Amino acid sequence: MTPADPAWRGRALQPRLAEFIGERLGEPVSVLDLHRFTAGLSWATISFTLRREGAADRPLILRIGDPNGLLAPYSARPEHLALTSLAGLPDLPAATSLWWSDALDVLGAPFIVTTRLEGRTPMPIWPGAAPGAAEAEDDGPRILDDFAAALAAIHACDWRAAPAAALDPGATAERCVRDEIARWVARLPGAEGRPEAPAMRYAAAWLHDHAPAATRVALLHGDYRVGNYMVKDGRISGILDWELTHLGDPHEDLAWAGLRTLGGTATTLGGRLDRAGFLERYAARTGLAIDPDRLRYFEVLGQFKAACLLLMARERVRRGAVHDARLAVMGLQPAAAQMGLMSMIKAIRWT
Amino acid sequence: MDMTPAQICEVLRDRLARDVAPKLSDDHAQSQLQAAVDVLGKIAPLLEWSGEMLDEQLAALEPRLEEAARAAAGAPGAPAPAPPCADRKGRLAARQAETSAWLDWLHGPGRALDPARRETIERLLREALQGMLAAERRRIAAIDFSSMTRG
Repeated sequence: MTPADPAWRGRALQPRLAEFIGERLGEPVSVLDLHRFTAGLSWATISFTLRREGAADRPLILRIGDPNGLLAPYSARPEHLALTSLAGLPDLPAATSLWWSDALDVLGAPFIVTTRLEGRTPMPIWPGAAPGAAEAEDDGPRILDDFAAALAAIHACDWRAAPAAALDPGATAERCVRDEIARWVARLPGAEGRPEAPAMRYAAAWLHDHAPAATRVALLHGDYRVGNYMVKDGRISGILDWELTHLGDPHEDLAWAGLRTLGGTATTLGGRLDRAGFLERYAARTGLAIDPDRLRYFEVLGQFKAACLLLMARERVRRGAVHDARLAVMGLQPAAAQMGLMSMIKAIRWT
Repeated sequence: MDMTPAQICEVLRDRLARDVAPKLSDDHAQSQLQAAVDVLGKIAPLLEWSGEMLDEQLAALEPRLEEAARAAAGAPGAPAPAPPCADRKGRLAARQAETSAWLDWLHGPGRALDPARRETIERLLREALQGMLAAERRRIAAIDFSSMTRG
């Protein structure tokens, strides 16, 4: 028997959200047209319309971090800090953070309200998949430029002088990679900083043994890939899903964007964007000399995190009270991701 | 696999009953859904993971752990073999724990071992893990998330 569903999953969402926003605006408001998107397996994303007397209706987005969700416990604060730090950059179309709360007594979960961006979200094209009905502009020539430019803009953020400094006030080049490993290990079942799953234990030890100092400490998106941007009129119109933002080495975002587990191939990012072209454009914009060995290390770290996500889905199912059946599907997949992880380490270790 | 078929059935039953059933207005569709929910509840306690998979996982682990023990003979603090266990699931859990003990040793006291022996043990452990994972992977097809994500 599972407990009753929390407020955000029921009819209480609409009045409670209206009350919360109304208190912040100092006037009564209405919340209309709630619609939940199925994209995303971590935060729930819901579009809605905000109505105020005497003002035009405003389309907004509500993101909710389900306490029983994949990466729970959640906090809306990192996404708010990142979006606030990056607001107004010309090369970075991103939503504006309007309100957020980690208190569970409002909706039963942490949440953030942002402006709503317009566009479609092209998903990865997996190797062997039949060509979809995606519109040609989803992969238009400007998309690759925009994808590289937006990441360069994020990494150029002077985070020490921005709200994002609060993400990790003590971040250093020497420590930030190990800190990221430790954050993910802590999410897995295990004790004393060691994962319970033996393959993850092996990989975590390897990653710690080989962790480089960061080339520099940058604000990272943390989940920068095909599937997390929107397209409109042949251009990227929004960079989405900032929940994994943190401070680290820029190579970490570059490696994640091309992970095979996320649909990447030897020549593409997510089966859609030219991998070499992306790295060239990014390097030209930032002046970063991309280090292939470092990139391979961060590909291993990325695969480790992908395997963590699948094992965390399995753990959620074990604990019960899961709000998304797709977590059970994910929970059946960790073996493949861990085998990929072993192979990647082997390729570095024994060649 | 430390997630049981019964736990998966419970997630499916719960989501079908709470998220899908209230949205179904067609009587026939509703009857089919309720039948599915009922069946999932009844078969859940009867299901177990394939015994063959467990055998394959033990076959991947046990000889390599024994070989690792031979390679580490005489090295201080090397892990002891897992105690015998008649139950197949218990035996696998014990061998996995033994594998973890080897990994901890290799990245702790085992660092003092000469590089060739250390590399041999690391290779054996990695192969053991690969074999154990492969037995699971062979039985479960890859995800097709495109059919589960829209909008």
